[in-house]
Amino acid sequence: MSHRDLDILKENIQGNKKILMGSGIIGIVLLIAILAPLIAPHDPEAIDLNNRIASWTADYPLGTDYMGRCLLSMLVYGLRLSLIIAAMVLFARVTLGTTLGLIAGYCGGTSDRLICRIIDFELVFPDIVLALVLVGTLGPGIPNMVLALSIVGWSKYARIIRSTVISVKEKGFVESARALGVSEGYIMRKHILPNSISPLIPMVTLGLGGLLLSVSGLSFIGLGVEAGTPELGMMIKNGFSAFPGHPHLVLVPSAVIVICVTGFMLIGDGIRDLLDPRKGNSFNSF
Amino acid sequence: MWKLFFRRLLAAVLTLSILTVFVFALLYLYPGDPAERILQARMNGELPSSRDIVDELKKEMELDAPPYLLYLNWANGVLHGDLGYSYVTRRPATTILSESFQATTELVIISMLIVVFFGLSLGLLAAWKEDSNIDNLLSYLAILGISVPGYVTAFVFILVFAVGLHLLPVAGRSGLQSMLMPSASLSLGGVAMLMRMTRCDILEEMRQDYVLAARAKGLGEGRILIKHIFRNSLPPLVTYLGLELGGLFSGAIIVENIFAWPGIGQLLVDSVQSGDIPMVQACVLIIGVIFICINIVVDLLYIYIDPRIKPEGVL
Repeated sequence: MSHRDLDILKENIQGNKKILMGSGIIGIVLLIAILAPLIAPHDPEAIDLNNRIASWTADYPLGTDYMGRCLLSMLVYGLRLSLIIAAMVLFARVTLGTTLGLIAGYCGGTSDRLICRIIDFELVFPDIVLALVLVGTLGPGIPNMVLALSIVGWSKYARIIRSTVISVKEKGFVESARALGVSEGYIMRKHILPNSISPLIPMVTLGLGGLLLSVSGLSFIGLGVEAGTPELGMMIKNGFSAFPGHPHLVLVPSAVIVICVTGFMLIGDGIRDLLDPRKGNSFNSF
Repeated sequence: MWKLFFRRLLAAVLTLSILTVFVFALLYLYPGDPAERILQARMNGELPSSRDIVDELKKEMELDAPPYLLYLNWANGVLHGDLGYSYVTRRPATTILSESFQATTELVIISMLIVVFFGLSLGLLAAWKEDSNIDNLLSYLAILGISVPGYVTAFVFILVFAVGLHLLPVAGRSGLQSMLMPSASLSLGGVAMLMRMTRCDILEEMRQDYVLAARAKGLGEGRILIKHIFRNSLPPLVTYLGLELGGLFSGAIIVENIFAWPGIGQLLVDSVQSGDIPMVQACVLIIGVIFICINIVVDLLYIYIDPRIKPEGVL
């Protein structure tokens, strides 16, 4: 085994190490989110004013917040809610981006120019500003937040899909499918799409991490979920008001967000390392 | 070059006009009657007592006119630097905006300097010491830096430097000292991203044949690194820095709110929450203009730095 081969092997393991670590983190996080009703000892919204900012007891494993709500229960349900919102938004963004990118890349012409113009506009403008203004306009709440965040942030997916589709549609198998008389819609769905979505894989995992930050950020500034909803950003916002006496009310939910986002970033990064042909460490090189 | 410039400018004007339509439409997107909203804001949240006052205001402000006329009227005002009056403070939106803009720009410039300095130097260090312990440590720190939201960094800074050590003011805008924590928490993510990109680009360039050729010619390592490798890895970094500048402006929204920094971010959030539509419109418009300008400059810089790119290739 030459020195270069050793290098490639080492790089691959390093890539996998990131993926392994990330998957481990996300696996545990997802398990906690799914089992939330079993893990949480209390109703996350149950207020107990006699027990405000209590410290750790057997009844309240992480103590309570300034309204006497069980911190652990809020954390577990908050994690679940933040993840659900982020996943819903991501699904909407990817669907919208893929559809528009596919149409623009495959059809070309006027529809391509029109879609590209919209993509340009969307790319120029920061997601968070548009989302913030939309939530502010429509009013806080989960449906409005999902809607506002889904309208923005899809253009990067659309752009990637468009450029991949443009190169895929020139391939021989598309030509032969067309020669066989297969309909354009069928070609788009069954031939072009499956061959164009692989660049999205690392983007989607990285996107989930970014979305967790956006969701909690919007709630943090009061333009996300409604006040009182157990959500990680909202918990941090509430923790700030009990500042500076009880920093753990901010630090604990913050740590949960950071761990989640790090997990997604590690996976996305690892996958990108493996997929990136420029680094010459794909599995084929063995 | 000039032809490209004008084409980019034309595209920017088009984007800007889409933006103005969106911004104007905010007036109608807000639930409720605009006139009622104005009165409510003027009377500290109380609902107007009778229909007459609302109708009078409507007539006064010509709010009954068809939307396209109102839009043209509004756009004409914008072109003359008139963005209307704040519903809450009743001061001209342009004045409020220019004060906030100055505060935000200060913050963003300082943060940008931090990003460029630490991002580039740590990236160079990581590439230079490739696969060493320092490199590995930096790569994990970078992932952490990207994953930590600005408000968490801000909180930790406040906890340590303001509450714990009493070194820096908790919030507000009073000289350079008050700028340290906001700009540090704003720039952390950017430093991490730029560091990773610099490392990656430099490593890729190091493996190119021209580096071998330069070495064979007998050039010194320092000269190769700076004049050849670094210069060639600049184009993607410049694009990234453009994006980052934009990212700092949007990141400032949350950071400004924590540190009570009187910038556009805080203004935007306050205005959105109080339903002060002219101020929201003004903020969104200025942020849009900033982003469009950044994009044009980045595109032009890109061509300047890498002459291999044909102007046609960009559009």
